[in-house]
Amino acid sequence: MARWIYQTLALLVFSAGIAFAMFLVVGPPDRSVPCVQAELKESHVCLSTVLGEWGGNVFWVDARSETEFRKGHLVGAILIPETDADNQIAVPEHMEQIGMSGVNGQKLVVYCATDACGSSELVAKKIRDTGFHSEVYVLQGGWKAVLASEQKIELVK
Amino acid sequence: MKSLITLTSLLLVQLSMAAGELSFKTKDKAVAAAPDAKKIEVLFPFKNESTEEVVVMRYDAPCTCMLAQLKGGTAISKDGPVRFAPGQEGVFKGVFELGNFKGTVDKKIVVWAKGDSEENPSIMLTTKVTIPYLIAAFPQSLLWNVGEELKPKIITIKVDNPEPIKVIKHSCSSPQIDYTLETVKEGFEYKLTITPKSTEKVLFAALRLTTDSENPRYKTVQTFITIKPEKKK
Repeated sequence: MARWIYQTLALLVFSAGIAFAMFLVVGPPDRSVPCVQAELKESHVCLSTVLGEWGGNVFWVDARSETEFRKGHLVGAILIPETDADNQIAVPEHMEQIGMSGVNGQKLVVYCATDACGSSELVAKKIRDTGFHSEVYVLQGGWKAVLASEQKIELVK
Repeated sequence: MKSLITLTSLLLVQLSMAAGELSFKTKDKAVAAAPDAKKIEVLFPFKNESTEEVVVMRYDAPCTCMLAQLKGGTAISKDGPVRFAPGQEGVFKGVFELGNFKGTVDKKIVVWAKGDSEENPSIMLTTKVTIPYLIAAFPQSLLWNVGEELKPKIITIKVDNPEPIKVIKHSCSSPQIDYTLETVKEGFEYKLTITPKSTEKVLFAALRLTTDSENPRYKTVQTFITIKPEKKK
């Protein structure tokens, strides 16, 4: 019995050693949010598409709460929380920024906390309904995808 | 003896890796909220119908407007994982603060069972909430292209409610817009005739109507006006 315990312990130590060696060679596990553009709805976009194909030249709208926004957001993003979206969209500065981004050829991308939050869908729809901008997208994976991204992206903290 | 120990070890490893599953009657619910509802509660009852114990490691509603709760099971620690033995039942409750929401919105509760990775929670409970529009504008927005002829365009405001909702005030964010509000049927239908003073410059404006509704959700109706260059095809 004692031999069995020693063997099991030896196996555990060996496995842990291999895992540690793999960590040193390969690096930490990939925590990026998986996203395949071709599999998304037309109105959704992967962060990799925004940063790669679109060169990051988009107008960001943050649909999270004000508290979350204050903790950190994407550079240039405006805050339109879903709970006050109607009023925030109609703020003259926001109308101008949303509209002019479209006139200047920037796509507009709305993000919330994760895919599950649903706020970005709602805010994106409300912005589309204004008619100010004709290319409004939802960021797949939301803020979680931004934090997990291996590509460099500027944040306000 | 040696092979018996090996077999037992393998069996134990396999048993520890076998994942039980919680069975839900439904993971998607559609709820129609009353016009004056301030919040709604949605229940997702479930049962562990597997032969294995299921541990709910954590759950979350990734929207500040929704609160998720779990009832049933045996808590392993305070605010920590909750264990569900085979045959044991429980219920996830979502409390959704409606605020001034109107229209249809999807809200989710995300549940991580033991063995789930952070990226792939195994349970996703969706509530599709529909809150009626008692007063709405058709269309909600008007567009003129830069340089377009200064022809008036019309927005109709309709009330979809047995009781009247009267428009008592109106204002526009831009002095560059001329408009008139005509009452077609007091409390039920109005007509906005809108003409920009010029279409030479780009403009983004909002025209806001205030109603006599005591429900803040229906206190204002917003319409939007855009003048922008014609989109190149």
